[in-house]
Amino acid sequence: MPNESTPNVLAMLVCDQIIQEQGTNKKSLFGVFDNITAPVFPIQLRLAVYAKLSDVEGHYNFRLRFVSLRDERTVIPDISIPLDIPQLQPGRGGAELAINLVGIVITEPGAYEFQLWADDAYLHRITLTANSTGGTPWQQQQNSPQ
Amino acid sequence: MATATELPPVNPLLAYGGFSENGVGSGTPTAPEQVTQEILPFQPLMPPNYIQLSGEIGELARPTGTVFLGALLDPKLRLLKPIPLEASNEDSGVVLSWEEIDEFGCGSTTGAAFDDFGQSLRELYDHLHLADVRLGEDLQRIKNVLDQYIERRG
Repeated sequence: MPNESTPNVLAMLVCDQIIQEQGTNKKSLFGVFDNITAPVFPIQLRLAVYAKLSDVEGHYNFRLRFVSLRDERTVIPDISIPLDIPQLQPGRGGAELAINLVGIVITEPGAYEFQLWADDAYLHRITLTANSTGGTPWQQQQNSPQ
Repeated sequence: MATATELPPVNPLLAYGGFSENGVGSGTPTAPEQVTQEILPFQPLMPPNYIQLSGEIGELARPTGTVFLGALLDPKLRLLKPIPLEASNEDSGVVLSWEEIDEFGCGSTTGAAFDDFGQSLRELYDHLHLADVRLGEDLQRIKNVLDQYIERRG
């Protein structure tokens, strides 16, 4: 049974990297994007997911899921983040999710999606598009004469 | 637009980060006589959290059975509790239905079906809460059900 208080997603973004300043907790998002280009696939890339939530109170098991929209199968294992906020403080009823992911492998061009869930409740999604520019495969580049 | 480095897929997935309280910005200059010198101790809003990886790569991500809609994506409306939906997979995509009020949403993917259902629900809520609308018995029952789940933000 999901938590009785449902979080509200104010923003959800994908970028190259998120850095959090220690002390102030301020996040810096670098290189916000929503599509990827590569000469050939598969590719391996680094990216980060940011979400800003309000109305967060109680215990949640948040889940970030990355799926290919071609067949709706997961591209990476689900990322689970337990969170426990006993009581909202006035003016501080928000939380920010910042996840850096290194080594995601995308095997083919197409549409992909990050989905954010709180327990069994769907919250939000953000879509990425991977495009091929039709370049020379990596193996051929390595084997080509200098 | 991001450009990806073309590499053979050999490195393991690394995931790090988590939830934290909102960032605190810096203030604007203030006249000295207006400043009350008070230093507050740093109090983390939430305990340290950690990331767990679960499930397998390539799992079918389409839900079946009961799932919950947890957000309406409308700044004017607040969801009081998650809405239970029955998910079914059809040839054309995903169908989500809320039997209590006989409302449904569909889409080619799970996310699209949730978006379609949320859009239908927002329109229904707005229509039933018009000031000059006259409701029959059944629509009044639907409005009462919606009011258990949704409220307008002040």
